[in-house]
Amino acid sequence: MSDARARAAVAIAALLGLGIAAYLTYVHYRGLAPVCLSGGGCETVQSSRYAEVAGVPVAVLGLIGYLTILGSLAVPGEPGRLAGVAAALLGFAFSLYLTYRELFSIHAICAWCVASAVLMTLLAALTTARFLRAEPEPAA
Amino acid sequence: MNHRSRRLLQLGSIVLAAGLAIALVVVLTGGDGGAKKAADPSAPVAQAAEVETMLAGIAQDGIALGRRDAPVTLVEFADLKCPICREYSLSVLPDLVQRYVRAGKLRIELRLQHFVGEQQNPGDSLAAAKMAQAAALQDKLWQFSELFYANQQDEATRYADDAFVSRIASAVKGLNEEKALHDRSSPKVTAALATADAQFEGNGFDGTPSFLLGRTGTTLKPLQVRSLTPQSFATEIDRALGAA
Repeated sequence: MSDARARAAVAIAALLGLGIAAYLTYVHYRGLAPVCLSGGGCETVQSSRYAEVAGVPVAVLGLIGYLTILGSLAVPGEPGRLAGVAAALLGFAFSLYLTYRELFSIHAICAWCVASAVLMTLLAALTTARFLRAEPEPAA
Repeated sequence: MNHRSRRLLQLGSIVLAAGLAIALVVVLTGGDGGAKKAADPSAPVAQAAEVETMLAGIAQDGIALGRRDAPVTLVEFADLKCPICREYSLSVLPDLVQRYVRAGKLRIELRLQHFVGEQQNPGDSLAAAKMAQAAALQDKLWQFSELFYANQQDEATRYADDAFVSRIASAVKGLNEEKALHDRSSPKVTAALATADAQFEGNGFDGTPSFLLGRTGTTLKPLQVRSLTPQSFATEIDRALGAA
């Protein structure tokens, strides 16, 4: 995959993730139950003690993460790729943690969270590949 | 160092930093589960007097709490080892009992699930559910389940053994503990748990606690509450009470 295609794929995945995080942030602050495709898992997860970290909703953390990944695409060269892979790998690790909490602490699965975790996994793979495969930049 | 080695080193640093960040999050969210970890089998049963007081004088019939002719029925699908179910039991249920069940407006059924911690400790959650269902045969399910929640331990551990369920049962006034232990393997208990499983799956639920609500005698519908607070449930119950 060329770097241009990888950038486009990162942008699409990050935009989709941003949409999910924005929706979950909206329902969190409006006090609404998220539209759930199966049972009451989303509401159970959203109302659990793990829905916030130090008072910050995890949906807001996701929003920041996806915005950072999108923003990194606007930074040219190695610094942009490094910022992108750092944000995506941190997001991936956080998604792993949240999925563990869903399965073993909350005992409910939220389809929105699963979709976000899949997107973050994809972004971690794409940004890592972009970072490692990029041609070295000529010395100034 | 060539550019590839440098990048791999940078990646390794990022992965390490991500790991440390998650460790910090685990600390900030209070570690694993938040349920009590003390597992002293000789400790007195907590909240025994409070639970008796909360349920005193309210009719029980098997898994149901409240009058048979109450206009609205709430069904809870719960696992006794589930910490979120415990939160509901401690922070929501007492209000609903006081406000609606005592007033004869609401009947609550508890349909037991048994999957929490199944991977780490197979059969432990089922052991808890069987004893509770056996208590239901003596119309003492609600005292047993509320005391179980009040004394719930770390969900990742195996603790719902005979000694633990006997200790909880012994704190329930009027419950014949020996009979309950014997009834755990009765066809009635097995059938009741199978019915609860079928209803849980039939309604498309995938986590506990999950709820059904509606006018008594009609087909109950899955209840989506905004949060596990008394007011969230009160809003929906009032709506059901208002529906002709």
